[in-house]
Amino acid sequence: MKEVQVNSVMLVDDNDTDNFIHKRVIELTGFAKNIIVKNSGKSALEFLESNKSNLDALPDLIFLDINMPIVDGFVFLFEYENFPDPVKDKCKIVILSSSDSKRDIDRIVDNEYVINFITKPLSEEALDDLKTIL
Amino acid sequence: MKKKFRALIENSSDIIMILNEDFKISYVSVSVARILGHTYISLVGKTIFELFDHDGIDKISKFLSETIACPGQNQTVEELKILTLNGSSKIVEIVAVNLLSDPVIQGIVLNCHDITKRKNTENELINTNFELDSFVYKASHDLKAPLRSVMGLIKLAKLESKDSTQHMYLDMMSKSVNSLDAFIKDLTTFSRNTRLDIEANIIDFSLVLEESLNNLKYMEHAEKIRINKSVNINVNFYSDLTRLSTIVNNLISNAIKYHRFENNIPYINISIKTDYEKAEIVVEDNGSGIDPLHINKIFDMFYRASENSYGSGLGLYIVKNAVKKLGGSIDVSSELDEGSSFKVVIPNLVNDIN
Repeated sequence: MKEVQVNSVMLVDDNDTDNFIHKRVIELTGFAKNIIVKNSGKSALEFLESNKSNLDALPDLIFLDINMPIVDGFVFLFEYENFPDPVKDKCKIVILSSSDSKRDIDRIVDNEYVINFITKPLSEEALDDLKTIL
Repeated sequence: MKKKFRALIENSSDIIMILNEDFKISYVSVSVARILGHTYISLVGKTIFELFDHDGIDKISKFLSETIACPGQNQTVEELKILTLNGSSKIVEIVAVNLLSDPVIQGIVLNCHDITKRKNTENELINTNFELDSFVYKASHDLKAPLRSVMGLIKLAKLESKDSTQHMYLDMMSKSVNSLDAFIKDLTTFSRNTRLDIEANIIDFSLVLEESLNNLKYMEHAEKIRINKSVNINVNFYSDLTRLSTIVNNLISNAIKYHRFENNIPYINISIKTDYEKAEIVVEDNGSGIDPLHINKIFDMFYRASENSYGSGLGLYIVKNAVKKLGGSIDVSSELDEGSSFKVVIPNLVNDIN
């Protein structure tokens, strides 16, 4: 298996505990060098917006929660469509949610930028699996 | 005698109407006043279309032309909105028969049954079910989310600690949290099964079985049990995938849970075969078996038939309900300390797909 090195990831979750857990798991497993943490869909979109012409600052992977107030995962994905292609080509999205409801999964699976759906909590095994599809 | 019949018709809770071949009202029972507010005098001679709005006219014309096409045969149309005198409307079900060639009647006879109350109750029920479904969905998420955080923290604590005593406690916490997580899952599965309609899709039984075994391979002692599969699929089989997976999952997980390991080579035989009419799923084990005292109750809600049961007692209840929803049947035969065999037969919904 080819060892993939992920440079930078962004965590988008309104729950600070979950952000802490995911950040720590990624650090301990050495999955990525840089970790950007955003605790709302809105602040994540703002980050992408202000760096859309600076591709180096953008994450390779976005771990996106679904259930968040105001800008939830679905709204985020809807807004994400409007970013220029270089941004969308660089930042691949992984849904990271405590939901394993078929309803949520079906709504997400159609989106071409979403490469995986992981049920919380994020584990070492899930990160290993993720590496194989990157 | 004639009086008796008249009284019967006039006091009926339905509206009886006779139309001539131009759909003009030649007779209407006085019950029309009670139900719609119109009087006999005001209606006779008018066409029936004056009692309907735009959409209603389309429906009733279509219905009446069907009725005319089949003389002597009862035709029924459900749910038509009919206008009352004060401008509101009632929902009626109409049974009509073309008796134009009958020498006594010489008309189309309509029996309009007021179903407004029933319809309103039905709509309320649909709304309540929808709300309940949203509630269960939201509540289960809100119950699950903090639980998943706890799971994450336990995993993290294990990654960061080398202390074996701590690991032991963390594993025990994990076990409790997992069983609560499974219970929440059972609750949502149950509530969704009750309310959601069946979605008939083509079923790949090998895949269903594989996914189910994959989900269950981390169960305690699962690796010590030999699993023999026989899948015989001869025709395209259609059913509801979610419910089918629930059934297969629960039966196999029970077979794993209630196994004996002393003086025994544990096995589970799973056989699935289909034909044009049905699928037959048999899950058979040589596990602990079920006491004849309990066997009639194993499908009851929250019933736990084993001292070793660590579940919620919902599993087989959910299975029974899912089987029922799919129009199938489930049978069990079991002998204590010998093993159990569950047989599920579900119909092929090949004719239900559009």
